[in-house]
Amino acid sequence: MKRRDFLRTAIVGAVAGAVKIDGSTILAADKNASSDVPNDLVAVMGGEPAELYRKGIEAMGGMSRFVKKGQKVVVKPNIGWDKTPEFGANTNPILVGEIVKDCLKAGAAEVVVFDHTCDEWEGCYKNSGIAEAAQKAGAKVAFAHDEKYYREVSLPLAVNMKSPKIHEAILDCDVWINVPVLKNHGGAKMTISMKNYMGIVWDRGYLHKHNLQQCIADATTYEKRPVLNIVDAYRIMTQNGPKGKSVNDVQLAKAIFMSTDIVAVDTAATKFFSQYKEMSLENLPYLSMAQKVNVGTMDIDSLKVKRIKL
Amino acid sequence: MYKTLRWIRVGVALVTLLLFILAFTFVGRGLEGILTIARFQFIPALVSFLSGGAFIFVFFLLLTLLFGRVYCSLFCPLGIMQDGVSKVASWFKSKKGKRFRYSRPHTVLRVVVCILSFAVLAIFGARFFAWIDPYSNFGKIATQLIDPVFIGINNLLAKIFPAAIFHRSYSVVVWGSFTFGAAFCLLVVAMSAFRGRLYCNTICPVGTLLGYISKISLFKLAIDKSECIKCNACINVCKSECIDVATGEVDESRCVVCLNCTTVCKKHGLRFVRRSSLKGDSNTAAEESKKPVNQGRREAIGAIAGLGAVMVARGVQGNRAGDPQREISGIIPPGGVSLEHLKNHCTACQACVEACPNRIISPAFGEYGAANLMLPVIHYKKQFCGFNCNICSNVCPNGALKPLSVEEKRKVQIGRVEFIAKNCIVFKHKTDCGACDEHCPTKAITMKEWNGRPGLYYPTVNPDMCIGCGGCEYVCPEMPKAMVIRPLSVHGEAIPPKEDKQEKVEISDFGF
Repeated sequence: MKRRDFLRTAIVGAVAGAVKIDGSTILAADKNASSDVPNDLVAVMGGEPAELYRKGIEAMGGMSRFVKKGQKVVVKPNIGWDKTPEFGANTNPILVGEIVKDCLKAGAAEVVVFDHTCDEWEGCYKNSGIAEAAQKAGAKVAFAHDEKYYREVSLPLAVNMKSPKIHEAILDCDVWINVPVLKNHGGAKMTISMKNYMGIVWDRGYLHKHNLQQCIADATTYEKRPVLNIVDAYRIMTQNGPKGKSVNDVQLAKAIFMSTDIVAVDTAATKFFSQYKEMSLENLPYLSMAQKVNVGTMDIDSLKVKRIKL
Repeated sequence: MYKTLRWIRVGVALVTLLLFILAFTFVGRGLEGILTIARFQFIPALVSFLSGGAFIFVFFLLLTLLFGRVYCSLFCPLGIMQDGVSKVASWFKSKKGKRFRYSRPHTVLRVVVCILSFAVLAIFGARFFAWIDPYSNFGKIATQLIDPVFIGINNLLAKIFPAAIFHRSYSVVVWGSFTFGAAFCLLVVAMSAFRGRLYCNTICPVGTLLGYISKISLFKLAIDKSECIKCNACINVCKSECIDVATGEVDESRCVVCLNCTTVCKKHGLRFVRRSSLKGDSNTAAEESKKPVNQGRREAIGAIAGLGAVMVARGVQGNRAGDPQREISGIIPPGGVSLEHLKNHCTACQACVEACPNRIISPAFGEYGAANLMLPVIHYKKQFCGFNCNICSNVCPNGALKPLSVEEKRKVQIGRVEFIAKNCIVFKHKTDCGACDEHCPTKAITMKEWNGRPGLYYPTVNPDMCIGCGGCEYVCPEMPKAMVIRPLSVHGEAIPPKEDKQEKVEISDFGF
């Protein structure tokens, strides 16, 4: 243990002891802190994509906690734009590859990767590097550019978007893992895990037209929730998002966030983002809207959180 | 030897046709290169003479001066298509009945059509020639008739192999162009089913031009009159109906050098001979045979001189300066420079229409005015123009769309954005949207916070920075659209996007 870490642990521990907070939440830097109850939210910073993922998933209890033998798994990254990885517009392909490999290792019968792209889909799949990375790792890459790949579902908990068409891969899978990238967004303010749902819906225009914030929250009420949300914050886009103009829009943050709670992980990621660019949670009404229908919680402290610095 | 030559002819022709069908129907990402073969066509080479077509044009001219109209048999997709139709039709004809017989040339018709067509090309530019150019009309048939069938087949296969083959969402069929393509196809199919290369020898201006140039070709197919027993075997297989056994003459202006006759002649009496050897060879008096040869030479020189005049006229036209900005209702694809440039060079072959991965280019049907039908035009109804894509400008064989690098294309302003605030969701419903801002690659659209409504952002536009890609118009969920790209009849140059440099921030904690 480094001296700095020791000091921090000591100080935080002393404070925690003084105010009687559950130590395991705050003493996250302590790698020895283990418990039988798995973590709800894990944040890792200071490493390369594959390393960040491995540390994170380990702290979440390993992929076998989420993916069981023989299951059909969907890994849903953000592949929205015809951009190469350094622009930070899409999920990091290395991360996607790692997740796919891990799912297969956990015994997944098949892993499918797709996104309903914004730019022309073949360009997005190719230049993002995700199609190649996913295939190399053993996943199937599914088409999502035509309405025929989507089926209508009913969202009884939704306020505005009650019957969207959702991609068949999601509808037909056993479990799915949501893998967004952390970016600012001109319309929704931030695009993270919840906003990433727009890539499983066919008619994105509907969401924009019928109160974007409410519709994002509505989308997340679909009964098959992602078993895990993994926010890629290796490169984060802090301006001109979600497409971005140049590499100037990107900050190298080298972090990752994971949670079973989609609202919590987006709340945490937004707070993290706020250190680079001011972003108030009040700018993201979809968080509280989703919290209202119990999709998740914005109260991070109510969860078992582990923070890891590499 | 002629058998081998004929098989080579058939082989080359099949490869040509196959490549053209592939290029014009199934262009997928990364396969646009096949469309390069379109440069290897007579009219595109002529139209782009000053911008890269000269070499190919001279090659075709020399080829014709050497062997006659081999171009029509080897490289013209429309001609090869007719050979195919003719062949298939022959399977349904009685074996004993003659396939073809000699017919007299329709000299007046073909010469008038040819002169008129090329005069129109010289005076009005390529846009009307587009209606008659064999290559371009094959392109129209392929995109409007064959491509939809292929898409149907593809989508059937996509149902059977959903993981491997993707569903193709839409074709580029436009009714005006489809009707023309269908009518033209019907005409050519009917003519070729019954009369072989009749179309090529009556209407096709390229056929007539090359035919007349062939009158002074170094080699020509000729009947060895001393061998001929007038069995008419050659006539029976002559698609051009140009062998007159009675006089022992082969009309080289109509002969497409298919070599069918050479392989059926039991006496091997049909051979390539040097034209110069023909004069004295003739059985009739030397005086008599000299006359038509001289006249042929005059006609050939006339044809070449006419062609030269067309090219000079085009060269002069190309230098015409100053296009005025005009009202048009569709967008000229990148590289098209201006409506004047497009009109002058585009033969509406539909190569760009087929190559566009987003399928946003279609044949015009009134967008450029009633006189400029079927030229390529962009609409943003189903997709928008990819920021990283420059394919259309690079597949144009005519130079009607000048080749642009991706970097160059990102600066060309093909249209200008107009923001119609009263249609915008943010103003109408007071809710977030930003779909337009999200898609704008240059940030000509930026979001501003609404004064008095903290947290609500509305789009603002800088049209000078807009390249007209249509991302905003396409994605705007409102109808009528709040973002509309106004077409430019003369392309402009967009001012480059702002740099937006930001400090690299170092953080040491998670922030929560």
